[in-house]
Amino acid sequence: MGFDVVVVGGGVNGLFTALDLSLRGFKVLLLERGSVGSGTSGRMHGLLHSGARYVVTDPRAAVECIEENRIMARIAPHAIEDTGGYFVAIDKDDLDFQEEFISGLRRANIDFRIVDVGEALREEPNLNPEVKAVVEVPDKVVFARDLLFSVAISAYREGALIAQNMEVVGFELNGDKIASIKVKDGYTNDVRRVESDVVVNAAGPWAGHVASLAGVAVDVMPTMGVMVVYQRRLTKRVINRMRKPSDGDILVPYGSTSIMGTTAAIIEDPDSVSISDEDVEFLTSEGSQMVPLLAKINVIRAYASVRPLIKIPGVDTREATRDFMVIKHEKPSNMVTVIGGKFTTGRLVGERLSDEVAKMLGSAKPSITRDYKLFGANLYEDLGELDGSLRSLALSFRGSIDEDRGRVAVLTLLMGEVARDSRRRLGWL
Amino acid sequence: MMSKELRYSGSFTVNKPREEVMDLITDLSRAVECIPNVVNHEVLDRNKARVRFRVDLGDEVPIAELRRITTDATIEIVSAANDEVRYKVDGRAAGSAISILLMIRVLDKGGSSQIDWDATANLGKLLQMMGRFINIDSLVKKISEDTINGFINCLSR
Ligand SMILES: Cc1cc2nc3c(=O)[nH]c(=O)nc-3n(C[C@H](O)[C@H](O)[C@H](O)COP(=O)(O)OP(=O)(O)OC[C@H]3O[C@@H](n4cnc5c(N)ncnc54)[C@H](O)[C@@H]3O)c2cc1C
Repeated sequence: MGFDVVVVGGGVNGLFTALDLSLRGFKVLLLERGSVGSGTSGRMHGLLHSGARYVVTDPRAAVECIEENRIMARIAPHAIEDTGGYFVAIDKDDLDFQEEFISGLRRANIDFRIVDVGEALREEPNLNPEVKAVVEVPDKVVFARDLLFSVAISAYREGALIAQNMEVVGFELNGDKIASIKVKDGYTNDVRRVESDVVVNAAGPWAGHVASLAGVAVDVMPTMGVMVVYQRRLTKRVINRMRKPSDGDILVPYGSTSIMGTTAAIIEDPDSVSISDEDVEFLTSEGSQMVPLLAKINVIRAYASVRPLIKIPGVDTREATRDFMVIKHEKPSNMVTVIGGKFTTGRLVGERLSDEVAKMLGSAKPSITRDYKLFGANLYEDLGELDGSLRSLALSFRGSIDEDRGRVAVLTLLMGEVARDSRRRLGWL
Repeated sequence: MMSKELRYSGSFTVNKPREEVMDLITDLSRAVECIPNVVNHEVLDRNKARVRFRVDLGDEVPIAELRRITTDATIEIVSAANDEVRYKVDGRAAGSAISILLMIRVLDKGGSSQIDWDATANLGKLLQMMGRFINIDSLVKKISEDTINGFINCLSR
């Protein structure tokens, strides 16, 4: 079976690329070695950045974040909670940073408001009473699976196939082009072959490995970040420390919990992460400077995910990785790789990657994802993929006590159907 | 993989008598307060303290969370003689071990003092790997120099 584009990786970047390209009319197959969202995207911190965090150190990323923050809220309202965010100054160093921070917010065109400390404490009673200054910004919370499944289902509805448990294990080159892609089927262990005009490498922290399968030398170092989940939601808003980005500076209210993050550590293998008691202790101690109660409530669990540091001969990753970089390789000439990004900018990554791919395929069709309302925004209206019994199960959530909590359950049912049908249409049963 | 050793040294004079310099650098509870970037510390006994630093790796590091990383370490005075102090710093940075041996010698220059220092850093395997992406060498050098400068600032107060 032949495709215009094969996308490797079912994280936020690969999924938005598959959606964008399908909307431009290309025949797309997305291959994910595990399940959609099983990489970094399903283990992020939950923050839909306003960009405020980056205004001083990475102004370009800040501008991208605020634009995407507004777009995501429009196209995926069901996957986002508009919590707002506070930046809080706890000590003198934080306070010294305030002026630079505020001029950065102005430059990046991010709406902000200096909040009277008394008001902030009334709004967020669990905030450290010693807080010295508070600035409000349009941070939001994004529910990872809700968004990822919505993009996957949307892409499928626009014609893309989304295959799970399919690991790309090699490429066959013909001259300086990839002629076929070798895929290991995780269910049967069979190795299958797919042909495609263009390959998009959106394998996140594994992108270096995937590129090396195509003979591209990349130097990758995985870095791990830990997040700790606490039993209660202690704030309405996202709470950020008012200082240059560092480890342990963000508390996200996620549903009924609070999540503190993150650490930063170098690891050897993105497939083996381990979390220590010190990580939990560190995040609790940093977090409790902003919200003291954090030190007193139960930790439910901790989880971790991985970002890649990547070096490619001839490419200045330092300049370009803020916030992400799309690389068109010389050989293989029909592969494009993306490195970096944030969950927040996943749609933009998809647009840029698709622009590059469209150019390679001789198409001038532009991206329309910025105005495309994702599937899930009106979830219960439209459950066409589900067969009768699953549809009535899904619909039973509607109007019930579990309607909101049920959304991700229904999206999961649909995701399963999408993956099953994609396999069937590939003939890989 | 063997751990990698980095060495730095430097020398300067301060306008204080040798005794005063030695008093400061052999009193860990005072000395720790002079080190820049210390977020908090706890003196464990006369010669030992636990310290948390926030180390700035620089804005050119492509991952924001990795630019300013928190490092927990123990600092120990391993020997203190008449004119020489040895500190040992054992810590973890970015998930990897780092250990620094800092030797400071103070020479009496009649009312002022000459301070000669010498630092040897041993980096764990992962920090060495990070050396492909970040200039670890200049980083450790900067930390050593900052520490010594911190002592000097304290002395000139
Ligand atoms: C600790 C941490 C916290 C973060 N928090 C936030 C946050 O709060 N807000 C925010 O905006 N951003 C956040 N980010 C950044 C964001 O999560 C990532 O930038 C984003 O999820 C990366 O998406 P991706 O699609 O590139 O990678 P991934 O989500 O990792 O997707 C890559 C996929 O490729 C698959 N794959 C790998 N190899 C193969 C193969 N050979 N064949 C087929 N498939 C393969 C993997 O299974 C994986 O699912 C965070 C990152 C980290 C590390």
